[in-house]
Amino acid sequence: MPAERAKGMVPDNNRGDRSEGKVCSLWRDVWERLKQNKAAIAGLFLVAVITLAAVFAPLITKYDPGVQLVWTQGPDAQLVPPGTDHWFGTDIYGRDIYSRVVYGARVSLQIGVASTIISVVIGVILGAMAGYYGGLVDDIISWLTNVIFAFPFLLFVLALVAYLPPGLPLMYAAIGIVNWAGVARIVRGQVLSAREKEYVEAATVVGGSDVRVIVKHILPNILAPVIVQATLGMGSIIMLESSLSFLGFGIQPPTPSWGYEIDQGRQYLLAGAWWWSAFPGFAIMALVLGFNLLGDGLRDALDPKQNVGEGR
Amino acid sequence: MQRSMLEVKKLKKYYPAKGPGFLKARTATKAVDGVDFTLDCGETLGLVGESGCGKSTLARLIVGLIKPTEGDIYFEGRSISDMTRGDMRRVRRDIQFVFQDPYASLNPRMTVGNIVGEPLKIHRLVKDKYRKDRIRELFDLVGLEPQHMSRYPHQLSSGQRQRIGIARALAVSPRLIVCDEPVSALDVSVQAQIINLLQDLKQRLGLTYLFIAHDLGVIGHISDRVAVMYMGRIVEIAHRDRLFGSPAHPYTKALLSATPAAHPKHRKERRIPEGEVTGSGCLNGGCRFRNRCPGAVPLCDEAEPELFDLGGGHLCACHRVKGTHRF
Amino acid sequence: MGEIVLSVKGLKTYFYTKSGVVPAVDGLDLELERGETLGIVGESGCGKSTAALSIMGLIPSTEGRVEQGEILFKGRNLVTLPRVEMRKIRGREISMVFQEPMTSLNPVLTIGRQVAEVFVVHRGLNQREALKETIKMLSLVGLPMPELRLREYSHQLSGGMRQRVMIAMALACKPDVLIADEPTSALDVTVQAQILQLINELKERLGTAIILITHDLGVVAEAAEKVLVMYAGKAVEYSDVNGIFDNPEHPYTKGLLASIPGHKKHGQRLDVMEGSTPNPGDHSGGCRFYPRCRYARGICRTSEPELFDLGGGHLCACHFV
Repeated sequence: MPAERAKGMVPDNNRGDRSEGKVCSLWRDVWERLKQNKAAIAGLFLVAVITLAAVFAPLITKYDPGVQLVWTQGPDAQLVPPGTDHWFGTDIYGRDIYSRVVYGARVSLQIGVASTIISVVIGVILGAMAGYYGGLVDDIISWLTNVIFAFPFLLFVLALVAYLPPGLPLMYAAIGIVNWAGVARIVRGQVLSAREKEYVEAATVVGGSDVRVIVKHILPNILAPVIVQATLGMGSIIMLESSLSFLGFGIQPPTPSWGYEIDQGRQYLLAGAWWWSAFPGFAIMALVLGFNLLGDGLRDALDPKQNVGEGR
Repeated sequence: MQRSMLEVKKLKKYYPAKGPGFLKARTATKAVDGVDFTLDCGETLGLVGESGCGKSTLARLIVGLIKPTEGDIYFEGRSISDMTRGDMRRVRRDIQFVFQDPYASLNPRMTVGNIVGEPLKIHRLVKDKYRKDRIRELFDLVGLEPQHMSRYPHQLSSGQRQRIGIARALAVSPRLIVCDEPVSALDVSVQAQIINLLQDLKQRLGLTYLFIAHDLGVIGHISDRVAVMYMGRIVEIAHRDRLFGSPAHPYTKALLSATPAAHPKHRKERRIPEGEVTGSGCLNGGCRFRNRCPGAVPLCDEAEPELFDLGGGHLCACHRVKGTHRF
Repeated sequence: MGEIVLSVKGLKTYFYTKSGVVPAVDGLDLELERGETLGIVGESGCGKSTAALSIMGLIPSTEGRVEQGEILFKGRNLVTLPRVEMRKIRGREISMVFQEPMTSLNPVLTIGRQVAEVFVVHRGLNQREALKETIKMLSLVGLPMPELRLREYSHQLSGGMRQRVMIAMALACKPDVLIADEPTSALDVTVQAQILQLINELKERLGTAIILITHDLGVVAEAAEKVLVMYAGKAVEYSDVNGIFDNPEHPYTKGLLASIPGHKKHGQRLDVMEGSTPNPGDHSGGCRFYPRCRYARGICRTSEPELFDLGGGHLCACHFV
């Protein structure tokens, strides 16, 4: 019944000549809707602030994250509580936690972005192939995604770390390889339904090759859920990296990483030096929360059900 | 003697249906179940039938969007399935398609100029620098202004969108256009414009149409010959005047009788067939129309009637018509 | 002259969208006599469905509202009626059938439950009586084997049968007015004929007045007694059905009739109206049909014509009639 009403209801706005000004209105619409979503804007703000901090890290920090003030200033520089000089305090080696958190953002964001790119590229290619060709191709790819989902991830990383030198590229690769399955699953479903659309058939009838049909006609129209998935995935990847680093399988010292910091500070938590673990923790929370709020907001803003311009 | 452009022989398309439980037997949906017809150069063949009769599947088989389960399609005497890739590409250009829903058939992320220009690009039909001119020409041909080129589909009216769909089909200079309900999603006044346009284009460009619709008014207006489809089969095919004037198959009669009167004075006592089109699974052999047919005889349960020539190219698949005709 | 059951005066229903106010219905008058069928014809966007929903009080308050005018039903103005009162009228005294019978029925409830609910809610019957009435009603609308259908779900029925169930629900309380919004547009021709026949029969038997909303002049020719032609939110012509088909006066009505293709017109060019149906809200003074009208003169641009009685109850809104 409600769908029925809606049909009669919504005045057919999309017909008739419209002014030229509405070119590419979809993304503008999305932005308009996103702007009205306070949580999403808060998320965007968090992500933007942390990203800017990471990019301009040398400009906004006084101390090098690696400099151990213990060597120059003696034990006075150890475990200094948060104050005007060291905003987030220092650790046992006299390193400035604030600097380490800011530089840690670089690591987290790099891994987030790079692994997301890897997983989206693999996921979109395989998902699109599975959805478009179906049959055996679909069976194989779907089987592969299921294997990935069922795969004990920690074991995989452990194995990798055992054989390869741990570091950023290894992390990108490891996380990217594991995360593409989610993207592939979403893309496959979307392609499956987009393939039935008449404009896709139309592109086939005029002689478009498979690649052309997929790249020019299907992918641009299924971008929205992929973007949402990628944004939400960014949060979980950052979480994952932190967990790995916490466990010692991730970023290796002395590169500052939030997870590693938390792990290191843990021993001093009960001794009262809460700041060593707490500030990196807040940073993780802020960034993950930011991505999740943004992703949720994007999902609502991109919801095709609210799109004006459907209808006939 | 007219040359035949398209010949369809014993064409079948079955879809394996998913049974309700995985232990239950799977019965195939017979969307198209043995269709034969020929289409002559320069004629318009109207294909009429109710929803689910397989007319859209047939259209998609002909333009090559889906592969037939059985049977063959001959284009200018050559079987499409035997063709080499290169020949196939040519044939695909010769047969184009106009879709029902002018909105769904246009990629919402492309400007309509690019949509019309895409076939030109794919087939490298014109040099890049002349592409714009050709698009302009096509826009002119279908009655659109060149300034519409930079718009997106949602910025046009439904009539304008359907014109874009037609321009895209014309871009590769096809000889046969399969129109799948091209006007049924349009308002009456816009529908009339598109019908006129299709007729003008046919004359100007010497096109052949396979015109699919469920509306007998539209079919009667535009077609030279009319084929009536019921549950995956053609049950009657005849020249337009024969079909409207003296229909032979009981289903055709029912369709004509069910069509609303053009004038309130012509309201008539109808002979509307009871019931509705049912799934194809329940009919094993026998005539497909028999359970709704007012004049079914035992023979209709036993054997499926084949198309039978009543003379003058009037074919009908009905045991009783065949019987009375012979004696 | 029969008794007037429903009369609409100066109805204006506006929607509020991001791009501005959309006057979907912009000053509509109509009268419906007991037991007659009024066909409202028009193309998409002319406001015919909005008019129907306004009468039913089903315009979602988040999207729009009845801005002006009154809807008089049995001496009460439905526009100002409290919602609780309106709910009692809706479905009992005025009911509605929608275009798409698939989405109008709840897929997870059996047909029997859904139809019986109408009797329980509106007539206060208990389950057993309601079921009995339901079977009676379903056989009245020509549903074969109604006892069996009770336990089925909407997806098990064909399109025509679903529409019959919808009609059964709509007529369950023997309403004074039935609004049918494109009741046959989603159906095949043979089924459409069955449903139109059914509606006509039931009207005779129950004396229900019907507003039949359609874009198809064939449906009007088949089933209506009076016809109201709408264009861009307003009525442009009103007459009995023969008047519309024999002496259409408004250029738009003439254009619509000339646009209908047919076997007898084979090969001829159709006499078309140029341009497309306007968006509600594009109008800025003058006659709404002016941009597409071949008889338009200066006055059409400046002043909006009102409905004018040509005699014999044939009304037309055109300066040159």
